[in-house]
Amino acid sequence: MFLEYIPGRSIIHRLDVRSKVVAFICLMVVLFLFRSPAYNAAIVLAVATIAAAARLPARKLWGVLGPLVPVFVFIMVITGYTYPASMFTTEAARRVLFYSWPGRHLPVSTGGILYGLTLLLRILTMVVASSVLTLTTPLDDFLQLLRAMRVPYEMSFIITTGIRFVPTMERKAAMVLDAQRARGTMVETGGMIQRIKAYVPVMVPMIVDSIRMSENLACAMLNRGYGATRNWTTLRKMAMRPRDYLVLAACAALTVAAVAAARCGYGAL
Amino acid sequence: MAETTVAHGRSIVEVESLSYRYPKGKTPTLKGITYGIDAPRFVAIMGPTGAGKTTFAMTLNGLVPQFFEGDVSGRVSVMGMDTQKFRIQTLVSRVGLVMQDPETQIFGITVREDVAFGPGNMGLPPVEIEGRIPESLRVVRLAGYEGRFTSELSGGEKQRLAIAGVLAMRPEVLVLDEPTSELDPLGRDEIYAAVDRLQREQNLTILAVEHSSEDIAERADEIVVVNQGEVVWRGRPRDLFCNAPLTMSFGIRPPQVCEFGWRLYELGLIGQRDVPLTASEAADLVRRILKGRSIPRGVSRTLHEAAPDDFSPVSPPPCQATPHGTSGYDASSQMQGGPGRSGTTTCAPVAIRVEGLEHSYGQTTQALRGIDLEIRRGEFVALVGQNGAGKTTLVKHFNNLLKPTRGRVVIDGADTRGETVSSLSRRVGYVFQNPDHQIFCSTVEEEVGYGLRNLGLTPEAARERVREVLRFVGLEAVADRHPFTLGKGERQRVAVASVLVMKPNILVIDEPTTGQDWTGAEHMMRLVRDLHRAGHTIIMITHDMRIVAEYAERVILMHKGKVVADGTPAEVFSQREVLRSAYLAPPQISLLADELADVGMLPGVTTVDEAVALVAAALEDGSQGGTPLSGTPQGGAPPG
Repeated sequence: MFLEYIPGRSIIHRLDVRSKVVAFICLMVVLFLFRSPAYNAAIVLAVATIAAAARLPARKLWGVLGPLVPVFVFIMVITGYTYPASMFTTEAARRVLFYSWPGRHLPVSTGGILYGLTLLLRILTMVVASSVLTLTTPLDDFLQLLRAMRVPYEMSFIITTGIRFVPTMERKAAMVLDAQRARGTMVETGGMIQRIKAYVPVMVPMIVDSIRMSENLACAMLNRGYGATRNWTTLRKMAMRPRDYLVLAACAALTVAAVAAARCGYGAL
Repeated sequence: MAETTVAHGRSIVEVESLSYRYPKGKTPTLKGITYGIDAPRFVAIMGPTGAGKTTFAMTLNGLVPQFFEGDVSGRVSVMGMDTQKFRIQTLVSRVGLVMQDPETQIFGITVREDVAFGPGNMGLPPVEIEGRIPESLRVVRLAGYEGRFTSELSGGEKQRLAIAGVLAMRPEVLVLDEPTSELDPLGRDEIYAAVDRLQREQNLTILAVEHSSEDIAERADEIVVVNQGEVVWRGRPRDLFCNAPLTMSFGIRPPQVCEFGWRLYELGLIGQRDVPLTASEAADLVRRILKGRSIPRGVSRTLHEAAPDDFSPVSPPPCQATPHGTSGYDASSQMQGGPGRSGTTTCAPVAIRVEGLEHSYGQTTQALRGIDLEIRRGEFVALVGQNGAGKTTLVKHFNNLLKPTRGRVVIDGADTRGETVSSLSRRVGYVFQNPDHQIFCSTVEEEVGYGLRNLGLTPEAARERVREVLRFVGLEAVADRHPFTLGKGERQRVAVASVLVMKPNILVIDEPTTGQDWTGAEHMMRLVRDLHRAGHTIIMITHDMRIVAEYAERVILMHKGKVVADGTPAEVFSQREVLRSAYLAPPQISLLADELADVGMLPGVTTVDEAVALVAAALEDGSQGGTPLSGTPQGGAPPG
């Protein structure tokens, strides 16, 4: 599944979910303080180092990032044209890089290109950082967090059960599709309307089956004592360790430092 | 458990004149059941489909009537707790219920999380839960599976996990509703190994709803037969199964050796009390009758040649007459001059040729590793093997649902590469195991006619064809009904009809009898045989070796993506080593044949009829007319 937890023993895996979420929020704040691509590149480098420390498979990350490449290029082009040189404060950024039409028309500003670069570096940071968060944290930990935030058990139960049944439903859909194709239903040909019509024979058995399953599921929940007590136990207990406090302190210090630096004009464009 | 209520004389299960009607039910599902268990034991609940077994099981932990509301009267108490007064969530810590479909009973994303779900709901301390997880998994032989993803388990493993999840709540009574009906033979063995262990180590009271008499004949302390909502019989397995007609009258198929013994009794060779329950008892019995004589060789040979087509089960199951006589339906009309009747298969043209077929899912899993096969027109082939052996993967190549990774498949002389699934659907019909995965129309007639839409027939011609097929499968009377109002057996016929309407010569039928009681299974198999006789080439996937022995002409045994044995049932079932390595057991009567090898019983004996005929022949061959073993038969003159 997309961005599923990858078990591991790295330092990032072992951090408390709260430390990770706080660090994530701090990162997002810092990310929007600086407009200079150099500063944002430094942040990307830092996040990439963390991803490497968590031993995340590069291929999985690329699977998420790859489709975004055209978007990145598009952003740079757009910002290059749309941000006039006058918008920027630094000397370098105010220069016009070139004119794309004879007679000093359609200028492309250096600042615009650089700002585009900043935007894509920010997206890159967010994608990598959220991947690090979800790939190193089991679902159970997030549920614990929800519980600590006083979100009802029912809510978190729905989330887990929903995720648990994704592969089941996928398998069922494949079986139904096969059964219908085997009796001559053509699903892969015809126009738009025909295709939608062809899915009726797939959707109806799926819905009927889901209703039946939901009844069984309700029985099974009761069989396992669901709702017996409000104080249900989960095996994972959130526990702050010294390293978590260290991470929190570091996050606080870095964020404050970053805010101060930004106010002094560092990282401007 | 420490506080064994049993010791204080209180009963474990107490049911007093329990009646129940579902909210929309016309008639009560349970009618005045009175029943009790006062010492830990293993009880098998048997009876035909629709008898009320599942409903009864659900009364034991309060699901009926607390979840399924309805009219209820009478009283049920388990471990001293009234199941109508205590909450289900409270009851489940004493009574565990495992239902049929494991898929909807698994909540965790990993095995560990799933086992922890029940104890977690009970609010037990984490340390306690941590201890229960490996313990419960060990009993069901899933030790070390803690970190596995539940979505990646096999059907048998899921079923055992469902049991472990309930065991983790440490119930004193365990109720299992058809725990093995969807499983392959290895899966069944594993479940029963777990049940044995539970009884031995934990002294649990286990109630299991079960269709297979052979699995429980030696295990159950007691059998309770439920029919039409009432307890109609209760007692030891021996007293039920060894009286074959009595067992059959309840719609239950007795173990093969019991049928065998009863036939000997009917022939006047043994007394009624001598009817054996197990294969080894049966072997001792035969030795005593034969008194040193042995089975003549010639008899066995002629028997096998005559065998496959022309015998029916010992006696027809109760209340089922074949509703469909001969009809206008004639499958051979669309065969290009092919021979209609079975039995002449050696000279028939090749229907399916498989050459060097390999198939891989993704880059790692190789499901088929080089299959070479030839199936001729009019053959009746049973495809057997464990789940994951590659049976379904193989047959899905016959109608292009899967494409070969390497090698090729030729149907009626044409490579499937040039075809589509829908073009092949006119030559290869594929009936899936679960009819509910395809039913979507609001009448049987519409459902069956659906496939004809793309064939360009006139409405009259299409209607006529649907009628013809409905007549053949015996569904004419329900043509206007909504398919979902029909029983499972009838829905399965709808599925068969909807494939048949395309007039394919080749029929692939995936587990046609799974989850059905004996009557339903026999009914279905008679339809399959009629289809075969009408000229269809049948390829049937099944886990029921008894059905294979009685109906199929040829058995193909698959293991780990390869064909490991191919021949007549007698030939394949004789290869005990091969069967064992593929985790399959031959029909029970073959085990008897093994024990009697020294007196000339062939290992290829797979049906009761063959075994009886051989014993009778031995007696005739020796002294004329064997003398009855124990004088006059007890319990009245033999019927028939």
